[in-house]
Amino acid sequence: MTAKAMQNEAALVCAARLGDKEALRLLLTRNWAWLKALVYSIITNADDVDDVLQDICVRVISKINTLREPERFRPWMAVLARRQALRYRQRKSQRKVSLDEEVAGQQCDYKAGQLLEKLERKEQYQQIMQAIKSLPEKYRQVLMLAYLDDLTYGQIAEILDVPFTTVQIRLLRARRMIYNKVSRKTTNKV
Amino acid sequence: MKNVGDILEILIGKYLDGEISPTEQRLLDEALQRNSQAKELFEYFQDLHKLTQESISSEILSRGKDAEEIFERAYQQTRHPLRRIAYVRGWPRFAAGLAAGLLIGLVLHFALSAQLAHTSGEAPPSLIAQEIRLGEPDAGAVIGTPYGEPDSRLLVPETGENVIRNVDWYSFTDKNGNQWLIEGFRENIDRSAAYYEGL
Repeated sequence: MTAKAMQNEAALVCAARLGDKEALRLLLTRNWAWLKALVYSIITNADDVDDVLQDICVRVISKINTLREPERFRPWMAVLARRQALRYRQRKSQRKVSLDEEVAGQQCDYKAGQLLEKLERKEQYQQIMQAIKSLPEKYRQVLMLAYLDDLTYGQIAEILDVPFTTVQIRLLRARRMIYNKVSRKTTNKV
Repeated sequence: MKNVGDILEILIGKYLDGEISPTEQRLLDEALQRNSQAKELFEYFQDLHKLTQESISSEILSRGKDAEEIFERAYQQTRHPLRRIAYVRGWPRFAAGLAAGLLIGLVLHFALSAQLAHTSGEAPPSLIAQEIRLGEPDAGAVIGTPYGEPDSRLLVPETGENVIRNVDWYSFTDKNGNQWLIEGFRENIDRSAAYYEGL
């Protein structure tokens, strides 16, 4: 993120703190892609992402005036988003699924699987998404941010509040794990 | 110390992420020219990178609602007054809860008192006891001589009905000297309501 863009974002935060709706809208929509990536990396279910994003928006709108350093908006929002997504995941895991729902879900998956078998490309996508979902959370987060929003290592480091080299290493390991899963190789490198 | 394979992977990763420097690019090019296995690995990672990008896009970006729509809904949700109250925390919230509790208590108290008064007002225990007490100056006028002329008064019942009744009161002293006040309707008719000032 350039210094100018950062200044702009800080100015938007100041305006948003005063209740400027347009500033709030810009702040959220400009950071939407990585926010979505971050939420997905935690809950790993695309159908639930929108619900969590709405909760995050509500939190951001109501808590923006508590942000002390406007230039640290992204890490602040990332923490908020992470917390909200984790809470959602916990709630979801506690909810009991009835046997009927479970069976119905399996039938749907089976039908969807039959359709996907015909499409080789789709199958490959599924395979890769499965590999991504099986990654440890910290690797999945970095990978999603890098791929979904084309963020640089520096930007990812800023959002996740980790060193630059950590991002680089996590991304390398995430790629290696996906490579191992997809190519069915079992190396002890990771 | 990192081995050659690790360095190659780092360079490939940097290349794919667009983070490679000119020096690193030169090193990567040399490695790819020298080593066929390195080239194979590079091609594989390139394919994987492309495929990962596509699968993530199809799984997430192509699904879900528009950002503007979600923001608008969230904004409306925060503008809701009840929602804003829900976000009050700490002492203000405690004080607000206490005040609300007191208010509800007071309302309930008055409502119940009014209800009780209303139900008991339907059948007053004794109009005489309420209106006339012995020993008061007015009472002397009511209590006449034994077997004397009846004193007529207009009483307004507290039932809320718009009627007044003509009532005769008699005073009576028994053999033991006890005084009795006897109430009786003079006539068995009701008249329409009229306002008597000072009654």
